[in-house]
Amino acid sequence: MNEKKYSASHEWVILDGNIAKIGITDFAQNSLGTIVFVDLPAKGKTFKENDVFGVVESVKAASDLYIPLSGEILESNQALVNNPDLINQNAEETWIIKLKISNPKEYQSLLSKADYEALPK
Amino acid sequence: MARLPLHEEHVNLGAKIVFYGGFTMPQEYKGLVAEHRAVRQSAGLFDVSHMGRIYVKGKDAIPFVESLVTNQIAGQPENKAIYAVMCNEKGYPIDDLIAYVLNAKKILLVVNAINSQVDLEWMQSKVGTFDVTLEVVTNTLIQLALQGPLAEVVLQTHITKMVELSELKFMTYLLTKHKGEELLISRSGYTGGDGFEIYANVKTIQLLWKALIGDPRVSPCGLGARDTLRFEAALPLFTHEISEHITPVEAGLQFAIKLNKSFIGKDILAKQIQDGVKQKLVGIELVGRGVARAEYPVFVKDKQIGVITTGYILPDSTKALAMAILETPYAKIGTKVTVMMRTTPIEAVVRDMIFMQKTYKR
Repeated sequence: MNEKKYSASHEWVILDGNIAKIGITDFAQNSLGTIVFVDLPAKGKTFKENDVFGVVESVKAASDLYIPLSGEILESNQALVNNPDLINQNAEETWIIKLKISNPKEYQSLLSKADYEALPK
Repeated sequence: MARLPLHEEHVNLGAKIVFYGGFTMPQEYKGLVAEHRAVRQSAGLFDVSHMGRIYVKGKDAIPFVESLVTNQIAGQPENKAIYAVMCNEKGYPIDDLIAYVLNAKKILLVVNAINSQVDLEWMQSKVGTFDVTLEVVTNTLIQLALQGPLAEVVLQTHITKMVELSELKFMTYLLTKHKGEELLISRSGYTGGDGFEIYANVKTIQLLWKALIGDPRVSPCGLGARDTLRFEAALPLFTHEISEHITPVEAGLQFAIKLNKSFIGKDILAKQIQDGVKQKLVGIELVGRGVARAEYPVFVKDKQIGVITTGYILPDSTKALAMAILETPYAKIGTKVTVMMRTTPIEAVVRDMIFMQKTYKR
């Protein structure tokens, strides 16, 4: 298991071998407010780095989710279907997708926790 | 961007500030959901000073406004707050508004922030031979809304004992003084519940704001909750449920249209009332999972039959509700439709717009 990394668009990544778990940060969930719906990608779908892979909807608005790494969806978190606010309760532990990554080099350009927290917000 | 006179108060309360209608406005303080609940369960205080406020003054104030708006102005009971729509010749709204007839020569109009300039230009262009002057007082006569089941008892403790708020009925107003300054209190609002809108000069409103915010029963509320609350009450928002493409008849606002008088756009609206409309505002409930947001297209089979005007999953609900403007043949309750959520079709059904029981004090 590698160190948890972050994107500037407020997603986090935990990489284990070539499988990445991806969620959104506590900062992101806090800015969104109460989450009422997560539009999850289908298993098997492929995305390129920075593509929109889903949408998270708070009461007030819909916000795109950007994929920090290229790859193929292995699984979307089905617990979010009935309980989207699991993300509000614990964003940093609640993964949204599991991804089989196709370009490990991309992982190197993600941000460390310290670098993410230093971003202007 | 203009700052509201209470801007510093909002910042001190930790508001998230957004730009709206040319103003910097509080979007939320503690959070939309908590603020929505506060209005339904106790009392919420909104700074609505961004709304446009215009005095129509002069000998012809009443006939002039009468000629511009759908609802009756002359001969209403005294101290009535009158909701009306101001339409163009084709029956499409320029804006909706509240009119307070203060006396035979002075009417206060409260209009939407985003088009108060358009309203003013429209009204100026219609003055003609009417003996009236228009005076914009948006920056000097400012406005709060205190809304919720505790609004009456809360407000009563912070104003003069000379006034008995329990005697003020929904959509009526009274004039009083607060620390020597004039205060207009209207039992009205934009939440579907009980509440008051309060108008006074900047200094007086600042004093009242501080007093009310200091009351533990009151939560400051932002634009976010203002919109979820008015949606839950199925109240129209100009540019959404009524607009340059949706007439007040199509939006079901017949209660505010009086055909026993003349006004701009009357012929078209009268014809729509008599012959029926091509499109109607309806409620929508999603059957599939998702949220139906404004501007999402609505289909029956492959044919687009309308568009969502506003939609939410409201606080403490799991239902995705919306209002939509649909072609009349598809506007019947129970009609199965599909809402296109980005690229995903979601099953939905046409329903009534009674998302809550209103609790107005009549």
